[in-house]
Amino acid sequence: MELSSGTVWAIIGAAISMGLAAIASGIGVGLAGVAGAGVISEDPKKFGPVLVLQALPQTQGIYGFLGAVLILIGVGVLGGPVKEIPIGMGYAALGGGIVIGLSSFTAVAQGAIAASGMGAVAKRPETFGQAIVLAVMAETFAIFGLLIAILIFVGTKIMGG
Amino acid sequence: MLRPTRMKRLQIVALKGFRDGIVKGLQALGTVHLTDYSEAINDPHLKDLLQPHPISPNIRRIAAQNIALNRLLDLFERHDPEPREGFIKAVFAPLPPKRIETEELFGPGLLDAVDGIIGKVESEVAQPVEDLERIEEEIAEGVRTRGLLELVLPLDIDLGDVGDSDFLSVLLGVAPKEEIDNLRERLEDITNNAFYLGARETSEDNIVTVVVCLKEQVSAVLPNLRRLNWERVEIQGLQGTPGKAIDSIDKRLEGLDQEKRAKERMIVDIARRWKDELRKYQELLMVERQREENHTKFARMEHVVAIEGWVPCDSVAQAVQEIRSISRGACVVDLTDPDDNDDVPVQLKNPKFFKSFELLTRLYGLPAYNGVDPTLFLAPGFLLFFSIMLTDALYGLIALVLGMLLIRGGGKYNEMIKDGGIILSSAGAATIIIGALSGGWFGGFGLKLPLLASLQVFDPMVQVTAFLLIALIIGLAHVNVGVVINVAHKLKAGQRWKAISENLWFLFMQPGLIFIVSGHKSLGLVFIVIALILLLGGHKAMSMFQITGFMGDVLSYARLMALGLCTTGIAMTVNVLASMLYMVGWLGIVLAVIIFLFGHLFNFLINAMGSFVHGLRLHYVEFFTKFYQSGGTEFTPLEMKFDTVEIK
Repeated sequence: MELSSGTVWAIIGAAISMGLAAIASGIGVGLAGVAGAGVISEDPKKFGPVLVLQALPQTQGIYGFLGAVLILIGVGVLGGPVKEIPIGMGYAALGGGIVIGLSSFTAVAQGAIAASGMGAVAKRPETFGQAIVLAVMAETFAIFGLLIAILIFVGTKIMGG
Repeated sequence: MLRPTRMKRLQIVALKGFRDGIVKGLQALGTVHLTDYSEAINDPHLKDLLQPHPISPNIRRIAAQNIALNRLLDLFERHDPEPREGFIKAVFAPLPPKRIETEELFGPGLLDAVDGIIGKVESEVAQPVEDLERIEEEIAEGVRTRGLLELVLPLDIDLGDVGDSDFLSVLLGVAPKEEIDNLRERLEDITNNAFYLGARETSEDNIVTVVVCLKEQVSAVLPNLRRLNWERVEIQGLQGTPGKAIDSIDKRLEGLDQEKRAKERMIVDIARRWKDELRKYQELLMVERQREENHTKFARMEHVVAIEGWVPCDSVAQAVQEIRSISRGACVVDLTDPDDNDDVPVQLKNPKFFKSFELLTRLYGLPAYNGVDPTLFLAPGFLLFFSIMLTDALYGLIALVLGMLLIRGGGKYNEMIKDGGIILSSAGAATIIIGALSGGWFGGFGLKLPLLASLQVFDPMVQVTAFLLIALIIGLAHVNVGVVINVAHKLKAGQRWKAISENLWFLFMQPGLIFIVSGHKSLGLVFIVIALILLLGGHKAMSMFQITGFMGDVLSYARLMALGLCTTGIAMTVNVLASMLYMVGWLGIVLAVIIFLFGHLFNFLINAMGSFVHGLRLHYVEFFTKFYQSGGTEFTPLEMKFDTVEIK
C-alpha cells in the first residue's frame, strides 16, 4: 500500500504527540514517585494521598495519547480505511501533534510540585486538597495545548470533517 | 446558609466551687467553644484583679494512668490482635463498630476506678508476662547453644571434659581449613610441644578443633590462635557428645515451647476479659482530660473563676440555663456580639444535601467568620462541571452505584465516607443526564440502541466549536456569579467602596461590549466608560492585570470542553481497538471483551479523577478568588465524644 505524504506527516504528528507526552509524563511521574517512596517509607498509611498526587502528571501522557488517536482516526489509520489526504492537512496534523507533545512538558513541573506536595501531606495531612490544587495549576497549559490541537484538527477537517 | 453560624461571646464568672460542675455541664451540652482568657489577664485594667488559672493537679495523674492503660492495651494487642478489616471491606461493607455500654463516671470517682483497674489487671498479668519473658530468654539461649553445638558436631568428645581442670585446659574452636598446619606450628612454638590438637572437617571450608594445653599456657595460646582466624566455641555445663547434647536441647526446647504457648494462652485469656474494660476507661479518661486541660484557659480571682467561649446563637438560651441551674444562680453570665477584631470560630451550616459538600469547602480552608460560606454555590457548580468533563452516562452510572455503595457501607458509621458517597452519587446522577444528552454510553457504544440514540441532542466530537463556546459561556456565567456574590456581600457588610471598586467593572464591561457588537454604539460606550472608571478607580496602575486576569479566568473554563472530549475520545479509542480485535476469530472476541471492559474502567477512573480535581480547581482558583475570604478557625466545642463508649 502506498501512503500519501500527507498521511505520513500526520502519522509523524501522532508519533510526536504520544512520544513527547510519554517522556514528559514519565519524568513527572518519576519525580513524584521518588518523593512518594520517601514519604511511605516513613508512614505507609499515606499511600492513598501519595498515589493520587503521583497520578497527576500522568494526565499529560493521556492528552498525548488522545491527540495521537484523534490524528490516526482522522487520517483513517485507526478504524480505517486510510484516506488520501493533502500534504497541507498532513502538516496541520503534525502541528497539532507538536503542540500537544511540547505542552506535555508541564508534566515535569507538575511532578516536581506533586513531590513537594507529598512532603506537605506527610507533615500535615489536611493540606492534601491544597497540594492537589497547586499541582493542577501546572496542567492548565497542557490543557490549552490540547485545546489548540483540537481546534487545529477541527479547523482543518482532520476531526469532524 | 451563605454565612457561617452566628456566634455570641459567652463570659461566665462563677464561684470556684461550681467550676467543675459548669465545665462538665458545658461538655455535656457540646455547644461551647472555650477560648483563652489570657488576653483579658494582660489587660492593664484587669491585671491586678485577674490571675491565670493554675494547671489542674489531676493532669499529671491522668497522664500517668493513660500511659499505664496504653501499655496494657499494647501488650494485649500484641498477644491477641484485633481482627482488621481490609480497605475495600472497611469502605463498602464494614462491620458495625463495637459498643461498650457503661454508667457515667467522672472526676475523682473515675480516677480512683482507673487506678483500681490498672492495679488489678497489672497484678493479674505480671506473673504470666514475667514467666513468658524468662521462657523466651531460655529459648533464645537454647537456640544459641544449639547453634554452637552444630559447629562442633563432628567431634566425638565428651563435652563434660571441655573447660579447665586442675592442670589442663580443653578448648573447642573453629578455623579455616588451610590454617591447620599454621595452628599446629604456632602451638608447638608456644607450648614447647606440650599440646594436643584434634581436627575434623565440617561441611563448609572450615575445620573444628579440640586443643588441649597446660592451664598456665592458656593466656598465651588463645590470642595466638585467634590471630590465625581460630574462633573459640564456648560451651559450658553440658555432658556427653555434641550429638547427644543437641538431642537433649531439642527436647528442652520443645518443652519450653509448650510452656510458652500455655503462658501466651493465659495472657490472651486475661486480655479477652479486660480489654473492653480498659478501652472504656481509656475513653472516659480522654474526656476527663479534655475537661481538665481547659483549666489553663480560665482566669481566677480569690473566690471566683472566669470562663470565656463562643456559643452559636441558637444554643445560647440552653447554655445559659444550664450554667444558671448548675451554679444555682450564683454566677454572672454575659453575652456579647463579636466585634471585627475577634477571631470567632467558624461552624458551617447548610441544608441536608448541601452539608455533604462542606467537605469540598473545607478542603480549601474554612471561610472567615464574616465571609461567605460558598457551599451552596459550590455544590451545583461542581456537579455541572464534573458531569460535563465526564460526559458519559454509563460512567455516571458507575459513579452513582459506587456512591450508593459508600453511603450504604462505610457511610453508615462514618460521616466522611457518607459525605463522599453523597458527592460521588450525585455527581454520577448529573453525569448520567449530561452523558445521555451528549450521546456518551461507553463512548458511542450504546448509540446502537435507537432509544439511547434518540436522547442525544449534542455530539461533542462533531460540534467541537459549539462545545468550546458552551464551556466559555458557562465559565463567564460562573465568574459573574462570583462577582455578584462579592458585590452583594460587600454591600451587606456596609463596605460600599469595596463593593463597587473591586470587580463590579466586569459586570458593566460585558453589556457594553454586547451593545457595541449589536450596533447600539452610544449605549455600549456608556457602559464601557462606567466600567473603565470603576476599573481605574479601584485598581489604578494594576487595571491592565485585572482585564488579563478575568480573561484568563474565563478561558480556563475551556478545560470543560477539552477534558470532556478527552473522555469521549479515549472511550472511542477503546471501542475502535475492541471492534478491530472482534473481527479476528474467537481469541479476538475474548481479547476484545477484555480490552473493552478494562479500557472503559481505566478511562472512567482516570477521567473521574480528572473531572474531580479540575471541577474543584475551577471553583478554588477561578470562582473563590472573586469573593472568598478563607482563614476561619474551626468551631471545636468542648464535648463528650466517644469512639466506642455509650453512656447509659
